[in-house]
Amino acid sequence: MLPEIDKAQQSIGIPEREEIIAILNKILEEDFEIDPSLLKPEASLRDDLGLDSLDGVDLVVAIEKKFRFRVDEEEARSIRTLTDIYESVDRHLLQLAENQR
Amino acid sequence: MKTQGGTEQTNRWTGRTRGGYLGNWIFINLLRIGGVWIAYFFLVPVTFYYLLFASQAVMASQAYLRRQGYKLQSIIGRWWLTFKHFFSFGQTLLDRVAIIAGKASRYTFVFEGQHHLETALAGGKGVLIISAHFGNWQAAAHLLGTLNVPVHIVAYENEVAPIKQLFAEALKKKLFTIISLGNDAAGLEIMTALKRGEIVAMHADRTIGDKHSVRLNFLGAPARFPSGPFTVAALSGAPLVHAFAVRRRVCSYHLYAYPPQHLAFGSRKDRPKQLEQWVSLFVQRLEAHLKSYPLQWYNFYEFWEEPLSLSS
Repeated sequence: MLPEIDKAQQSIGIPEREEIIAILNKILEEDFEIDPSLLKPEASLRDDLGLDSLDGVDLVVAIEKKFRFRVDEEEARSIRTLTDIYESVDRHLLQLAENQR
Repeated sequence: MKTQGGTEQTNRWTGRTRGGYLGNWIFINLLRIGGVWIAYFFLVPVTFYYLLFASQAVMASQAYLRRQGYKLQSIIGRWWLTFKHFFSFGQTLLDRVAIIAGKASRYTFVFEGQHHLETALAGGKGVLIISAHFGNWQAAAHLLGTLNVPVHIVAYENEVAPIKQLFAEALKKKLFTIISLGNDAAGLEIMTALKRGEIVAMHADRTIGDKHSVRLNFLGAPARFPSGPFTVAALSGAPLVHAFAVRRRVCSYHLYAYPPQHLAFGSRKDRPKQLEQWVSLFVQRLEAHLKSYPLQWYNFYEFWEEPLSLSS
């Protein structure tokens, strides 16, 4: 993640990157029964973690519930790796915080 | 002619049309020029052909018919019933083409439970319709067209390009769009269509692998049914409607739509139990319709987990 986003997050009180990663990894471990050793940032959701199209929908819904924002179809389609998810959540939380200011 | 037969355990049907380009071209033109009865007439030798050369489909048909309670003791009786089973499938395929090629006015349709779908649609969350490879879903799609809401059919689309083109040219009116299960974004497309308040129809009787499936007793023996459609309904909040379109007699279809269900997941650990209950209700209804229309079951592969022992 870009350092400036980290700083911005700290300044407006939204979870930091590490916290977001921990929350998302916990969802993947507990709800999708994924071996924690596989949860590397570059891991492909389909090829490395074995998530199919239905799991993808389930994951998007779980993220939307947890962080209270909506992921649109175009953005969801572009998500391929864990890093893509982390960055997407980062962006949305930052956007939410900015909207609330 | 389309087939739904196949041999591999993990991917037991190919989703491809059998009979090749020429066979399909001939039947489409027979329907165009001669009408349904002429096409049915030419279906007789084609059915014989499949009876003689599609041995796996013959075995699957006879295994299914035995599970339905048919004794099939005499060879003639066995082959006659399988012939009727295959012929019924051929009629369904021809009717499908006739309906989408603009000859729907030659058919009669009864839509029982239309108000259930209208009520479900009024909620604005779209509707997920669940059916099976039973009867004629194209007839159902024709009736769904009367609701004036976009309809999407979720299907495993693996047709070769020339045959796809052939069918596309035969269409007079596009009744629905296809969401292809081979596409990684299929789940998202389904959710987006439902969010727009549209109709998504899926079959819930074939599995691809064991993931997202439930093992249930079906016609007296364990078989796997997909739980994915029910998961989609619970995640999206869209009402789920069971629907079956059966041929009651020649050129006459009856669509049964059940009252909508509003599915919601509890905790993660409760999910398997919930899914089993939801799928079980669907399977019970499917079994009830199959008792009335046994020859309209079109899964010509070994559907059950264990082959039927002839001694049993």
